[in-house]
Amino acid sequence: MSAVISILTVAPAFLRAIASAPAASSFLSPLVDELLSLGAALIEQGDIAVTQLQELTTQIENMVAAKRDPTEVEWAALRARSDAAYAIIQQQSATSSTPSA
Amino acid sequence: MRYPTHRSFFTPAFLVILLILTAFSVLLLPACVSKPITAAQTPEQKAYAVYGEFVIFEELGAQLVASHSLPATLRISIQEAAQTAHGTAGTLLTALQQYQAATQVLAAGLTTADKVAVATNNLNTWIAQAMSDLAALETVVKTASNSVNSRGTS
Repeated sequence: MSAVISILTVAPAFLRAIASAPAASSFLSPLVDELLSLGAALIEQGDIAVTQLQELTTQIENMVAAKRDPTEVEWAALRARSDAAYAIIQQQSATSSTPSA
Repeated sequence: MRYPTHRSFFTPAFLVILLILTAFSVLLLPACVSKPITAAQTPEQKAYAVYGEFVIFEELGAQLVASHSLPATLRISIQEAAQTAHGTAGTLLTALQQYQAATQVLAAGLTTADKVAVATNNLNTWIAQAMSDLAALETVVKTASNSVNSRGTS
């Protein structure tokens, strides 16, 4: 699984390198170029969630190994991230519901 | 007529196949990655795992709703799912505080184990509810993410 994740980590750059290579421009059609860029974008978006989930899992595994529960500092960090993200979502909701002049 | 020697390798058909395999990887890999809650053992660790995963997708949802290329319907879906999950997460934190208070009182010898069991069951109930709301949030975030990416390349 770590090998797969490693491959997907470098895949976006690899796909974009193929699309942008000088030699590729001579025979790659615009459609193929778009397909490569789309593939890279798909990997990157999914990769963000996968990486963070993996980090969270590792953090919890370390807690289990240390035979401890989350500390108040760790809880406070999560709550702060949630409050910040929720504020953005709420702000966008208020902006989108405001009738335009 | 001359052709590049590696033209036959990078045919459109090959690249379409590569794209399909990539899409499958993106769709299936998150399901293959072990969920944080599977690593957790104690009720507090499980609560932290669920809450942490919720925060990850809440942040992704915030990035998406701030995106100008996100359709209004998907933005509304994310906002509604995030609001529901956020409310449940808040109740989960309250249940966690009650559980922590009960275990501390038990440790001090001032209560009985059945009181802690009640708090534990309540916490587990809200962990399960949070996981359900989190699954709904994950679904709309992933749907919106694919929509933004496809629009970004058009």
